[in-house]
Amino acid sequence: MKMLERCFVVFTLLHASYAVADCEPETIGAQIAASDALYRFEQLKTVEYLSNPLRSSGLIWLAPGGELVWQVQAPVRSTTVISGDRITEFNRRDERQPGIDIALAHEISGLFLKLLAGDFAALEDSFDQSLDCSENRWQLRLTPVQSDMAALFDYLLLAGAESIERIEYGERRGDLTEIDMRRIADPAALTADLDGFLNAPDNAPP
Amino acid sequence: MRLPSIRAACVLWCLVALLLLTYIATLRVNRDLGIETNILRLLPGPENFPGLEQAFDAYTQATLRDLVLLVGNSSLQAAKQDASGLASRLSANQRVERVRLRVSPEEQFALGEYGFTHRHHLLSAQDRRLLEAGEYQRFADDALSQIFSPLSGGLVRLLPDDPFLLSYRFARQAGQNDFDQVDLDDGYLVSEFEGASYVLLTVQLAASPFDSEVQEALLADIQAQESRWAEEGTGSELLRTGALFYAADAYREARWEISTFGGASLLLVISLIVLVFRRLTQLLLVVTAIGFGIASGFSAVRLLFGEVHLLTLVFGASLIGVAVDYAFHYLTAGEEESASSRLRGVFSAISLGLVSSAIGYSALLTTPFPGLQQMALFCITGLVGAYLTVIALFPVVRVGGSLSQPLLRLCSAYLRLGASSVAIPLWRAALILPLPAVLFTLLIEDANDDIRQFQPRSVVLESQEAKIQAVLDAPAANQFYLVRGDSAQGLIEALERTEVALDAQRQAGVIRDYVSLTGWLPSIARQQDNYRLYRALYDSSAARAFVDAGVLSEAEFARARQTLAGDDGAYARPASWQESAVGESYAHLWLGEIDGRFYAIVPLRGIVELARLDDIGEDAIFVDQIATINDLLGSYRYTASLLLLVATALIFLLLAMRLGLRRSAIVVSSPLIAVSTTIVLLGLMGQSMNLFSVLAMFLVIGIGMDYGIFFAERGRPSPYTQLAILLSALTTGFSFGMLAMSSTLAIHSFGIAMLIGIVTVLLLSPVIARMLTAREKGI
Repeated sequence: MKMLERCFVVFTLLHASYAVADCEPETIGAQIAASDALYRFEQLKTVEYLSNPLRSSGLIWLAPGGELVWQVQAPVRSTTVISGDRITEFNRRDERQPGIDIALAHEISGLFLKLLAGDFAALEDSFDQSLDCSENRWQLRLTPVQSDMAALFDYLLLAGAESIERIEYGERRGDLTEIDMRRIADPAALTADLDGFLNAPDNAPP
Repeated sequence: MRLPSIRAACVLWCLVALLLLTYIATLRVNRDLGIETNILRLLPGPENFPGLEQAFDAYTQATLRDLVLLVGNSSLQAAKQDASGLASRLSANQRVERVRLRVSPEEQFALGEYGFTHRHHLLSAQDRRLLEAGEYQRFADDALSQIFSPLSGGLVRLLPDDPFLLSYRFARQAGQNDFDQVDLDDGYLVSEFEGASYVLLTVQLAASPFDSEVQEALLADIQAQESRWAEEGTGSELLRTGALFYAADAYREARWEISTFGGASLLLVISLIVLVFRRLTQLLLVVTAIGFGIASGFSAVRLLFGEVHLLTLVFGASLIGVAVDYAFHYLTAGEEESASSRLRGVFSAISLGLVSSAIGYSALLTTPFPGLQQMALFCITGLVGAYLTVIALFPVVRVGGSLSQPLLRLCSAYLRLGASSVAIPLWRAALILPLPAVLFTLLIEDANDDIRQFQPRSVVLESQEAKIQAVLDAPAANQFYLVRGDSAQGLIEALERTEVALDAQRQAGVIRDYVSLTGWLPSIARQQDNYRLYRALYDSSAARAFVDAGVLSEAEFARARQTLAGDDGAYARPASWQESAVGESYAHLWLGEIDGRFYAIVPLRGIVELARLDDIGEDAIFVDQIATINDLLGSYRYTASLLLLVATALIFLLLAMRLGLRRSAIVVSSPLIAVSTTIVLLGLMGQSMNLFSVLAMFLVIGIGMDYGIFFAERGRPSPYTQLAILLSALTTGFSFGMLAMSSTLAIHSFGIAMLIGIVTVLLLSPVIARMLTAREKGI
């Protein structure tokens, strides 16, 4: 028994060492990047000035080319494509909308792109990062240090296991957004539909 | 003839010279020479639309200080980065008032604030059509799409007061700038064109773009930034347009020409004078006479007009050709021993020459053309100054020395040509030349009245401007509508009426589009109608979507409807609009109150059929700056041509009182033949006539008259007089021959016309001399 106990202790120590060694943002990021990139999401946005929170659901897809396609399917269909330095929006009829002109939209879209791609290293200049791991789960907390981000966010929280399962962020103005995400095992059929938005010409549905 | 006391005249001359020097030196030290390079300052304002001149001026002045720069790159990010670098550098330049690159969040907020405040009274044409068609669901769908977007940002906070996001919707559609193909991207104004991304940068200068120091400072900064891009291999290109670039190009070209052509002709003239007189004294006297003349002309124009146009200086410099006549005539006056005798010998001739030239130029004073008035005043006072130098200063200076005998013999031989058997028959044959000259003028409509001839062409700048127009789909720069109203509200209503007609033009394909203020500032009547349509939207079933989607509670939506009700009558008005960020961005179109009426500009985009654009009613006139100015140039060319004939006739009458009809006719024949020869030869060479060709002919008339007058007063074919004429013709020929090589069409035309005219009068001088001094029966 003592030998078994010793083996168990060694095993536990080794297991603990393995878990601690993997709890690095780079490792988590690589894990996220390697996972299938299509998620179904449920979002709850609590706005200080509204009595009801805003509920929406849809799909999030990180395309092979690095683009992010965010499609809200309920309560109203709309699609946002974020790629590098461009943002394109489509209404419920999948018609391309005029250029977005919301303040800091590009900073925010760039942030989402990096988070969902697991590129946490690219956020080191803008956020202090604190990673907690337990068993197979991890939680990354980002606290903004760069002025533009600090003006928008109090904090951002990513949590998951093999992929991202939750994004939460508190905004400086008091609003709270909680996004629960579930990875889709067989994305082919759905991504084929989303792919059409990546190359849609002006004023034509994908 | 009793001459003024030489000593007293000299003292007076010195006093005047001192005053002139002091005046000009003061201007120079204070950097207030007032040299104007703006072409438009040469022209009077249009006559048939009271207040139009001021409106024209206000709009022109507002746009003249603007530079439009586009930074292009295959990568949008690189274009943004390089545009930011350029903006930083230019912002630090003291000659720059403002640089606009990004619409900051604060500016976006300010722009949005106006739209939010008046959201229930502002409605785009597109949305008007949707609401009038009852397409209410579309508004609800679009708002909900925006609210649930991951990039909704602060829009959700508009929901309690603006559930349909009408303020955001209007701002997006109405546009925040004048350009149609430009999108707002992270605050940058960007356009995609032929596979490249372009970032727009606009610069407003703190001073006139025609100031050479401003030009140097801006161009240096732009050049430095472009060099940096090249060193770093960013791959960015810079497109530029604006009055500053064209003015700098013209100034550089003019400076080069003045330094090369001017330097060369000056060298030739100095060499000639030294060769003939073999003393520096005569050279200094000639230079003094010319300098005093130019200083007099410059000072007179500067005092009376407050500025001196660069083209006035160019034309005024031609004073050399006439002013030297007086100097050479005095200096070659033979071997008279005393200065008073020498002066007595030439006094009547140069006085008569001065009066005849002054009559010629004074005709230009009668035109309502500031440019011609300046030139006329410059020449008249300049000639008076040169004349006074000859009669007041020259006699007190011992000129000594002797004239070049070989040259005198040459002149004698040349004069003898006038006695040859063919001379007078040739002269008689040449008297027919005015006929083909008139025919050429009337039948061959090849006048070039394009104002762009006043500046050298820059192919590079023109192609960049064309590309900028294509990338930005910018409104036409020189064609627009000027609309007026009796009050600010009356102006807005006039603008709306104009838009109805312009909509029809757009439908007919005459224009592609136009820019109007009334999108942001509708009339009260239209705002009332907009409000009615929005009430219908709020009352429709589509409004339930916000409650059904759980976005707003019933109570919250009810409060939104109350806000709408409370906004009834809270109209957008001109005063508040002007004070807003939106009003500031359209300030160049709202000219405001001028002479008791209100004016605004409506720019046009994509003019397809220019000929079909015309005034709309009584309150909207179509302005085509280039065509208008060209028409004016054409009419003044015509007027100047008529005045040329009138001036010649007046001079003939004046001379007839002194010389008699026959001799005055002989004197006048020389410049008339010279002018006719010029017209015919220009026509045969395929060169078009323009205003400056005609102005050159005024000088040819003046110089040709002088040559005849000198012989007539002399009484005999004197080789000394011929030498004076030869010297005058050669110096004038050198000066204007060089101008004929200018790349600026106006200056080239002036030079070539002068060259032909002067050569002709020189060739005619022996026969004129012969006929003026022969008995009547021989002619």
